[in-house]
Amino acid sequence: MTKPFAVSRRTAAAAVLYAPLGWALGRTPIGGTLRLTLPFVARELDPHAADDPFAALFAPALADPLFALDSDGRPYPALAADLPEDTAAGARITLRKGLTSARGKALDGRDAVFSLLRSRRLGGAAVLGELGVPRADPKDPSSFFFPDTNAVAAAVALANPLTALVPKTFSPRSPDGTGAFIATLEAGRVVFARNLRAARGAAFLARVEVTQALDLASALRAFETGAADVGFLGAGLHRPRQGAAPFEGPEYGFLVLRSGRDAKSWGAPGVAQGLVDRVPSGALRHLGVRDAGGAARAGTAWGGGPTELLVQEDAPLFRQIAEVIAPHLAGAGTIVVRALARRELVERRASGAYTLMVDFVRSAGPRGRMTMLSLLAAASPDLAARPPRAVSFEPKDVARTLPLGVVGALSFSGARSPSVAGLESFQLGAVSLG
Amino acid sequence: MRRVSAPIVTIVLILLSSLVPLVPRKAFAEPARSGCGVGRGPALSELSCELAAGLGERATGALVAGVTPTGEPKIAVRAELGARMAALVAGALGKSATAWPSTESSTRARSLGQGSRPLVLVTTRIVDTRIEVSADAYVGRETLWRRVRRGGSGPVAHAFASRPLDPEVKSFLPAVPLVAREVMKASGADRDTVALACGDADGDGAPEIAALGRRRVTIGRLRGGRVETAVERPLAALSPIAPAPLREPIAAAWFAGPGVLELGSTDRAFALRLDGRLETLAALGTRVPWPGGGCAPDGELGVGSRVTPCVAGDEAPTPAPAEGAPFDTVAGARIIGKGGTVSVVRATRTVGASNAVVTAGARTETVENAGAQLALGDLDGDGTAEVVTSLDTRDPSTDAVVVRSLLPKRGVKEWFRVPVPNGVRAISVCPLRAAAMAPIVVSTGDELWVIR
Repeated sequence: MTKPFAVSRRTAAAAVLYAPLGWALGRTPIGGTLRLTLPFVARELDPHAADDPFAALFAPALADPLFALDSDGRPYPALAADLPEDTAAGARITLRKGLTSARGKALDGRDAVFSLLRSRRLGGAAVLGELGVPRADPKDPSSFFFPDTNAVAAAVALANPLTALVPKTFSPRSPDGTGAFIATLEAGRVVFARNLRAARGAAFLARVEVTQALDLASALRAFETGAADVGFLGAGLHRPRQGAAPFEGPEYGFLVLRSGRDAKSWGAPGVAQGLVDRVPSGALRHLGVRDAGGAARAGTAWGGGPTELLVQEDAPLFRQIAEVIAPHLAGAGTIVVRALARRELVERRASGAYTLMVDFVRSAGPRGRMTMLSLLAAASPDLAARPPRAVSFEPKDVARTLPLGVVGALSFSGARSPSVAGLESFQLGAVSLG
Repeated sequence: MRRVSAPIVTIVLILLSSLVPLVPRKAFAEPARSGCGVGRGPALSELSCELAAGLGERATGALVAGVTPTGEPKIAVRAELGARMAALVAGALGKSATAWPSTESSTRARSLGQGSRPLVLVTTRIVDTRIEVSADAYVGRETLWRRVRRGGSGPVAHAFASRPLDPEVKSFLPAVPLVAREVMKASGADRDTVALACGDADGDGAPEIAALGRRRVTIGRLRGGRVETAVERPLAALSPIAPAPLREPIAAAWFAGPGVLELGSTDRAFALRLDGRLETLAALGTRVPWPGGGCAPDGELGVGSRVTPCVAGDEAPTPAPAEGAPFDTVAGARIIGKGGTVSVVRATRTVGASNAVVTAGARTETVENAGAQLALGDLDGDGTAEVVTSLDTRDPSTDAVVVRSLLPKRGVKEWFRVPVPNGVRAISVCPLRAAAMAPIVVSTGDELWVIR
């Protein structure tokens, strides 16, 4: 039996499509290339990755979730044909007809089930851990079920970008989806081109080119000299670029310190947070790291002897951050920063074969319970499936129960060329060049 | 038996004849609309065709006389319209019918009957946005003695027809200036309106406003400062969401005829032809209909230029300019010249451009600083098109509705502009009016404005 959904279906149907101001008046300018130079660029791009800052910022431009949330937090269908319906078999979701990925793959309910199972296995545990396991509708290829899940919970979960729809043939090295862009990954560069098959509207921009900077200074220099249109964390290296306008982008995740099996007793829950509590407030502000929120404490110095602090090699920003925090965790020279290729870092994290590691945890949603679930899933996906009753959802407070510490929150802010419009929400499809 | 005097008999008969309603001696003929066209050609031509068909055999070989035309609201209608209408009806009746050369008063016209042939009196009335014409066929001479003895004789056949005003009819009416005398604002409009159409949706002769939003389509009127919706349909029930919509929709709507509404937007899989109750008459072949006739082909970032028939069997549409596609706005209108010639005028705006291009036959004009909202129509009924545009601005507070005319030979003249500080979301031109400029309907987000 179908049960009415909390949100009016008429309202929902209206919101399927983007509704920018520019549908009236003069149109939003179409075309142009936005150039970015950033101190972290991935060699893979995976919408379901929760440990990759590049994916946190750019994967939503490639792939869309089945639902979206309006300004009041209510879900509405995006790639789904309608809001989920409660049935005896669980929440039933039907996809819009005619969906095609950027690389030309027809998409239906089986791709949705593939995507959700994949997401659940990867970074989507924070979002999907509490829901049932999705299965295809044998009677309708465009539909699937979430057993033992109600319609509201399903729609809210499937509005999360970590649950984005990708084709069954998805590969993070050749990413594909229904988003505003299609991406090509090159050495040290990612090129996003407009996706004319985009299910929610192709991008205004023709291209976005993201080039890897060796460090933060290089990124700022690129903006100052006009080689980039956006200044990451500033308006220039030596002096502000003329005409640059400040912008404040969204918070995209947390920088964390993990303690592994090799840390022995120093890897116990809460210890890592005690270590990062020693990092003075403001010490990382120039690197875009802000106080994450939670009770401040004096902290405890590392007492596990000389060790390595592992960090991702192709994320120069994180290397810089690691260099700053290492002396605060213990005496100078006790902890040495060591950069590893992302693949090796991921393997070490999975096996626990490390002592300390600087890592990234993507925000799975707005501050609150989703913050807690994000951090729980980062520590162990099983924890996200059965979350505890928490007194506080503040990141540092949550981290005191986990083998990781929250160094701070990361947000994309800085300066932009005056011709760049619509950057604040960092929905790249809606960005334009005037 | 007491004898009754002749004057008393006369008075009684006249009084009786005025009290008894005019009862037809024969059943009145229904207006025969088939074959005459409705709203596709010159109004006078369609009217005369329909009246002749309505009178039928009883008017064969008739003398056709035009009665002095009247206007409501009170308006000075040139008397020549009566004679012109009579001549056209005579022509439509066939070779043996002839027209009385001048317009006459009704009494004088009725006395023209000769007994040897039928007399057809054509009575023309201008009522706000329409011309109404009735034709009555009489046989026999109408003399005073006959009226006294038997009362006024009624017609043996009657026909009535009505059409919207067009420039040919307007040429018999006083010229109207292109000025915005009043802006009427109505609240309660859909905020997400992407296209408007203004026309007769239900065949009652009065214009309605159709509004295409992103989730529903409505037909309604403005009453007491509010939008009063008469009928609405959710778009989800009419056309599914397009597999690859544009981020900013391109939309169009127009009344292709009385009670025939065509509308569509790039949000939806296909455009629609609906009746006045918003029931589907046909699913159209592309996503956006092109006002004036035909459908605009779907494109990647806008719509294309090769206008196609919207459904199989539609007449071949007038071509659009081949250059400049893709377009982010298309507009069009059927313009009827003073001589009754019908032409389709089209306007387009190229994606990324800030001016509109208007094409009328071989003529092309550029309208500078035109926004994404365009409408065409003959606002003053002079037989040339007016171009109504928003401004090319992203700042709503600087937006405005601008009305320009195509000059007779070359060039464009701006007549007036009305600031719209909430921004212009959609524009449409309403049917011609007898005593004033055709109203312009504007969606400003929360409100509908009527500029008149």
